[in-house]
Amino acid sequence: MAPTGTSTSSSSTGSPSASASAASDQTMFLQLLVAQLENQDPLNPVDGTTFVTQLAEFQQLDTEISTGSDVSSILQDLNGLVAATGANTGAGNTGNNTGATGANAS
Amino acid sequence: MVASAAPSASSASAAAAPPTAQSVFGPNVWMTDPIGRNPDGSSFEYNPIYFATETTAQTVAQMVGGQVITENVFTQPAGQDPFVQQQPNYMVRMPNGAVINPGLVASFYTFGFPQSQIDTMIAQEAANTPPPAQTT
Repeated sequence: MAPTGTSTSSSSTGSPSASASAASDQTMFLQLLVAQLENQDPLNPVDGTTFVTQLAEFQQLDTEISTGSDVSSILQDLNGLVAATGANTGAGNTGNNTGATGANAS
Repeated sequence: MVASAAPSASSASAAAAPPTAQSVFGPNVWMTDPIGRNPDGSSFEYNPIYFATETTAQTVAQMVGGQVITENVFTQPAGQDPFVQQQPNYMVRMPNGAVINPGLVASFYTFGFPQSQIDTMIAQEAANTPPPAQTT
């Protein structure tokens, strides 16, 4: 019963709730598209421009989902980098920076 | 054939071209110019999306594990309908008895969607089609 094909899964490093919501939106869009296709006029094909517009919107949604995942990934990387930098430099570095700032100001 | 969108640098799967109706079902996906007859004998054209070729129907049947049947989807049996279909619809009966239109399934491949999304649409089509009611 299950449809065959080469399913591709997209890995996401973004927020689980945001990813789940986006996937839900995609599924909902596909459900609506199927319903629309099922209920075409038996005598006339649906206007192609309508589908093109919907397709463009869907691809925009897909792009936004991908962008969100990328931003989340970048944020995680930055957080990791900040944590690693803080662990390596310690509090002494902060003192030096403060000193340099003071020297520049005087 | 829908033109492919701009490639996504972050997605390795984007490199694979999405399937098309022709790449999956061959050059003749739907019947050409399916027609019907009005009561006065004049003809009219049906929406070809509902009229898959037998080859397309066989392919869809393999996908869902069903079998190909022929039905007049848009008209009543002969003698009970003033309108006449000049050609039957090739349909696919799924294992649960529900009948889906393979022409409709083939149309899912015309949007340039990846196979994963097409699978979702096929599953939705199957879910939207209830099996026949038990008469016993």
